[in-house]
Amino acid sequence: MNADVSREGAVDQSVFDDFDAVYEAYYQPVYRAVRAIILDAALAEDVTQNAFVKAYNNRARYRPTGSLGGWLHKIAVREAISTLRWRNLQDRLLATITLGAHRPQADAALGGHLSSLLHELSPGSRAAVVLFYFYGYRYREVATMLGIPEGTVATRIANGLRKMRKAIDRD
Amino acid sequence: MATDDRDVIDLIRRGISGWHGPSAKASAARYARPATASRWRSTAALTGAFAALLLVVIAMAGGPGPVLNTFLIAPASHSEASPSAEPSPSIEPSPTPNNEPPTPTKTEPSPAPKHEPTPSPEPAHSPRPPEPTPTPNTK
Repeated sequence: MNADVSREGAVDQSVFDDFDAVYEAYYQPVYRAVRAIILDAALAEDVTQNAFVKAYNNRARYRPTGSLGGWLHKIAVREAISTLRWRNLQDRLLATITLGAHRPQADAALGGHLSSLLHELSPGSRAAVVLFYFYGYRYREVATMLGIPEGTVATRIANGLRKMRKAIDRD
Repeated sequence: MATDDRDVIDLIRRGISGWHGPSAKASAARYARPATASRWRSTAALTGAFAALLLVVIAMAGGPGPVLNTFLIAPASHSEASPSAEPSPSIEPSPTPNNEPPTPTKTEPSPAPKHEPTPSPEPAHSPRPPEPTPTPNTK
């Protein structure tokens, strides 16, 4: 599983000497996390690119004590949530002014059933659920990535799972 | 029938595993997609924000009429009022400081002929210097 790639141990900072290799090794895991939060394949590509650009620009801040995958996920998840907030603001403005023009929601057709289920959750809950259940990060790691307390992470994961379960039962 | 948490977790794992980006190759994926969509979004959002602001202003003003009055008629009235106000202060101060320069400039032609005759007689009266002749009288 690609999640294993992101959970590898400490990486020497010299890994950034060959950033193309880092990009190719971590692109898919990062893209999946971003897409699970954004639920839009095209926008997820853009956000993933931006996340790698930010990672490259801030590579001096990377500390080899943590996993490289975790560091990249942290940047990408925060970028995804930030993008989603800005996009929701745009949607509200457009909906207020225009006339109800509504951007298509989650790419349920592309992502299948999971996209529609994840769409039931808030972006923060999506991030917590995906990072915890798919990538196997611990509460503490997820809390660090999202910049929230561990208790909030646990609540988001529990509520997220409950909402998804209800949505499945409803369907 | 209630769904088990394990089913949901399994669905998450299987679903996300099936998602793949366009390419994992840096050379192929980087800048592969044009960014026109996001540019369009931001442009539309900015336009929308401006339009929303305009609508709010119109709504607060009570309709488009007062807004038009404010932006079209009020400046016109100001422009009408401003010239009447401007000349009065301009005239008031200008006379004091500018009267001296302007009057000479305007009166230059008029005093010129006046001065012309005056200097002309001066040389004519140049013989007056002989008046100092009375200086010997002072002696």
